[in-house]
Amino acid sequence: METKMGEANGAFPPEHLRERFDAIVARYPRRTAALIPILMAIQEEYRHIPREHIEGLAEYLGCTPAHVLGVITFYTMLSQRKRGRHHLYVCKTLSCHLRGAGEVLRALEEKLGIRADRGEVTPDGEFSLETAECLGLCEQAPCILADGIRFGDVTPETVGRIIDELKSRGA
Amino acid sequence: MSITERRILLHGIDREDSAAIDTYLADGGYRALEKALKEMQPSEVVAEVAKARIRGRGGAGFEAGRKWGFLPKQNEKPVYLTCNGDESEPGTFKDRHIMERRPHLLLEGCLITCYAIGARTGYIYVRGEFPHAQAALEKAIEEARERGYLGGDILGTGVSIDLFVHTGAGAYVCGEETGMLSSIEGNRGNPRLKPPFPAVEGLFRCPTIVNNVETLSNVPFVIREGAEEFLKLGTEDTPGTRIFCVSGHVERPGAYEFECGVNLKDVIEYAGGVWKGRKLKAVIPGGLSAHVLLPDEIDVACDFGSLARAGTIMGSCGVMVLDETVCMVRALQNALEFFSHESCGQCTPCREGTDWARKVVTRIEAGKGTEADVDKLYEIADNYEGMGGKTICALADAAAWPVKSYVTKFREEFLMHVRQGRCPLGG
Repeated sequence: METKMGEANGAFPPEHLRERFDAIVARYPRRTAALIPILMAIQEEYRHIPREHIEGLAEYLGCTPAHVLGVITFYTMLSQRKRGRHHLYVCKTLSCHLRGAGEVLRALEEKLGIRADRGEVTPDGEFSLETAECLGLCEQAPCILADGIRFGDVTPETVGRIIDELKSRGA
Repeated sequence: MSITERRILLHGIDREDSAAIDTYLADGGYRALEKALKEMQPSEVVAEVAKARIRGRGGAGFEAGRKWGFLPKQNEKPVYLTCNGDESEPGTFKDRHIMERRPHLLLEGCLITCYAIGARTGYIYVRGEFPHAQAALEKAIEEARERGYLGGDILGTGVSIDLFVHTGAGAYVCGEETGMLSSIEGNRGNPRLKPPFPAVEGLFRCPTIVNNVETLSNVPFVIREGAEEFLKLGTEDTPGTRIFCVSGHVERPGAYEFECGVNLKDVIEYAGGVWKGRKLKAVIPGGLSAHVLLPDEIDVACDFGSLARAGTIMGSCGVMVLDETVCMVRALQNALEFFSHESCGQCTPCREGTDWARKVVTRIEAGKGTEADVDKLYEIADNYEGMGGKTICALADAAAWPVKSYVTKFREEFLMHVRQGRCPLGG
C-alpha cells in the first residue's frame, strides 16, 4: 500500500520526526518523561494518535502500550479519533459563558453542520469542533483556539470569518 | 477611589518587543542573575527570598523561601526546579501574560532559583492550550543560551543550569503540584499523597521545588533591589504586587498589576466597572474555586489574609464579575461541569461527589428539582470537601466552595427555580 507523507505506517519514530523526538527524549533523565510532549507532536502531525504507533512508541520510550493508552485517554488534547484539518476548541467555562460562549458554539455548529458533543467532523474532513474548559484567554471572552491561533471576543456573527480564515491558511 | 497600576512584573508589556532579550537587558534584565552568581552564596539567595516573604502566586499563598528551606540538607540526588505554568484555574491568565510578554523575566527567576536550591535542571510546565507561551519561552531559552545566561558555565562562573519547556496536554489537575510532577514523568496527571512533599521526594523521586510562574518572576526584583524594597510593596500580610485577571461583565477585561492590598471594588472600577450600566450581582475574587462575594462584600483589601477573613480566597487572583442578569444556578452548573470533568477520578468523594452535585444542580436549573435538592446540593459538597483528609488533593475543596457559597448566599434564587419550575431570570 502506498504511504503518503504524514500518514502513519507503523515504523516508529517516523523518519521525518526521529530527530525531533530524540531531542525531546534527551531533555529528561528517564525516557518515559518524553511521552506527553511526543504524543502532542504526533497529535499535531496526524490529527490523532494512530493506533499503529502506540506499540512502537511504547517500545521507543521503554514503557507498555497500556501505559501509553492510559495517558492518551487522560488528557483532553490527545485523541484516538481523527480530528478535522482544522480543529476548533471553543471555550465554555464561566468567563466565556458569561459573555456568550453558548451562542458562539451554536452558531458554529449550525454553520458547520456538526455537533461538538458528538466529536463530529465535517464530511470533507476539514473541520471538527470541541468544547474546551477554560483556555486562559478570559480577557478576550468568548474565545476559540484553532490551529494554534487564538480568536477573541467572538460573536455568532464573526464565526463565519474565523472559518474562512482557517480555510484560507490551509492545513 | 481611583488607583494606579504598579507594573513590575508586567513592566513594558505594551511594547511590541517586550519579549526580546535586548529589551529585557536594556531594562536591567539578568543583572540579578549576575549578582546572585557572582556575589552571593546559594544560601544567601534563599535567605534573601525568605526575607521578602513572596507568597505563592499559584493561589495557596505559601512562602517561596520557606518552601525552599524544606529541601533535605543531606542529599546525594539531583535537585529539580519545576515551574508551574499550567494556569488552568478558570478566570486566570496572568502567567500567560508573563510567559508571552516577559519570558526572560521568568527565565531569570528560574535561573536564580535553580542556583539557590542547587538544581542543574529546571522544567517549565506550560499547559498544552498555551502554544504561544511555549513558543515565546522556547525562543527566550535559545536567546539566553546564545548570550551565556543559560546552559553550561553561565557568565564564566562555572555554574551550569538548563531549562526546558514541558508541554501539558489538557488537564486542570496538572496544576496541582504533584499532578504536575506525574505529568512531567510521562504519566496520567494523578496527584500523589503527601508526605513525602516534593521538596523531599518529587520529580523522578528526587528533591524538587515547585513554584508558580508569577512567584518565580518576583525573584529577580528581590535579588536586584533587595528584600527590603520588595517588602515596601503591598501589605504586611502579602508583600509585593499581584496581577489581577479581571473577566466577565466589566467594560475592560484584562490583566492589571497592583500592589497587594488594593481594594477589590477599585480593581473592578479600574477594569471599567460593570458593563452596560448594569448592576453588580456577584464577584468571584480568586478563580472559579473561590467562594462568591455579594456586592456589599467587595469593599475589601486584596491580600491573602483580608480575603480569607472575608470568607473567600485570594487564590489565583482571577476576578470574575457577574452582572444582575446572571442566573446563579446556571453559573454553578457551569462551575460543576468544569470540576466534575476535571476530577482525575482517583478519590471516590471527588469523582462521585462532583458528578452527583452536577446532576442535582442540572435538575434544579431545568426546573425539575425539589426543595430537598437544594439542601442535598450543599450536603454533597460538604461531604466531598476534603479538608478533613478525604481526598489526595485540593480539587474537591475547590469544587465545594462555589457550591456552598452560591447555595448559601443565593438560596432564594435556587428555591425559586424549584417553586416556579423554571429559571426566574428567564435563562
